[in-house]
Amino acid sequence: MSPLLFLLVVLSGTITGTLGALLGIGGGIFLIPVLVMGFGLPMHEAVATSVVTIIATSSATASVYVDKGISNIRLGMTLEVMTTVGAVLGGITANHLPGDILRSLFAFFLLFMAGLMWRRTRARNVGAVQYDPAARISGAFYDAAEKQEVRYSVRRLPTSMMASLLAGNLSGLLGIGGGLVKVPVMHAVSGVPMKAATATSNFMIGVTAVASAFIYFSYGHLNPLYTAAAVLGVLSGTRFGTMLGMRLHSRTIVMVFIVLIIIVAVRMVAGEV
Amino acid sequence: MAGVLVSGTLLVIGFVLYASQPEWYDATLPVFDTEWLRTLHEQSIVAILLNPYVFLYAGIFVLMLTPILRLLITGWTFAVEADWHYVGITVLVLLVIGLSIVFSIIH
Repeated sequence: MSPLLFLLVVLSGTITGTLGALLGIGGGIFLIPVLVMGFGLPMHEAVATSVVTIIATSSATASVYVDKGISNIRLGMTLEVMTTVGAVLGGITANHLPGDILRSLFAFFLLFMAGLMWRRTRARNVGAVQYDPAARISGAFYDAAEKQEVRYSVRRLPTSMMASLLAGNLSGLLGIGGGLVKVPVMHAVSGVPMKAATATSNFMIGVTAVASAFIYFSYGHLNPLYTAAAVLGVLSGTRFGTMLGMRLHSRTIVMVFIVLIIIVAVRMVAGEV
Repeated sequence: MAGVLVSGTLLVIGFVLYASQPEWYDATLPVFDTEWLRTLHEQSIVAILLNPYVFLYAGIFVLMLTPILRLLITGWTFAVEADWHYVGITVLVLLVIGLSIVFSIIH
């Protein structure tokens, strides 16, 4: 690995970490194509690198978001059970479903969620979140950008749980989907504030990635140089991403997320993902 | 956070050792398997401590352990709060992850 290549991989990791920390996603949708098409890494090594960088994003951001109470651990753990079950089911059903139809369905689902999120940003009371002390899962955190404490209750938990099952299923089938599905569902369906949704997703994606990471590690698919360089980049990127995440207004983060999922949906329909 | 710091430090040491090797551009990557571990076992402690891949793999491995450690701490926090419902959920998540790792490696 030449010094230039090292710097480019670190830079790719930094962008991945920034996006991941800001939006609650793993960033594989960006990193894998860069590693495969940009640096010529074999697909399984690129996926293995991506899986480890997801853990790096999750662990680096969790220490900040959990300490500040932005991550909702109870919600995260509840949804994590469904995600893990979904991932196992995805692995089992992967060979029985046509990939094109799956991609189209996923793209349609993402566009639908983008529409829901967009409608929410247009609503007059977008900043207002519903808080019910009797709700099964509630949360509260200080929003530094809005300069106020935000209290909320999780609505439609069963729907979010089913969506997590779907997110895990798609992760197992397509190798992506975790944060891209869970963040919009938590925000647009369950009424979780965007910052809490991305922070909770960041907590969850690392846990989901662990099992895959150990498998890639045991099979010898991890390229230590690319993985280590990308991880170092991610660790620096997450510092920037968490800082941005706390300073930006929720509406801005929602808009960035909508643009991202539209790009992913279009790429899916075009067969590039 | 401690796990991330330890991992990052190990990775930086690994890269410094890697870049200090002669002709490091063309160095052949060792694959992490039982054969590599056996070769390592036969080397002296100094040689092991100067091997960049030992630090790189150790850094990656420590990083991979951090979510599991986080789950254990989360479970412990729920137990201290006597929230047994969420202790159960945390144990369930740990069990499913452990089983999926074991089954995947067996297959």
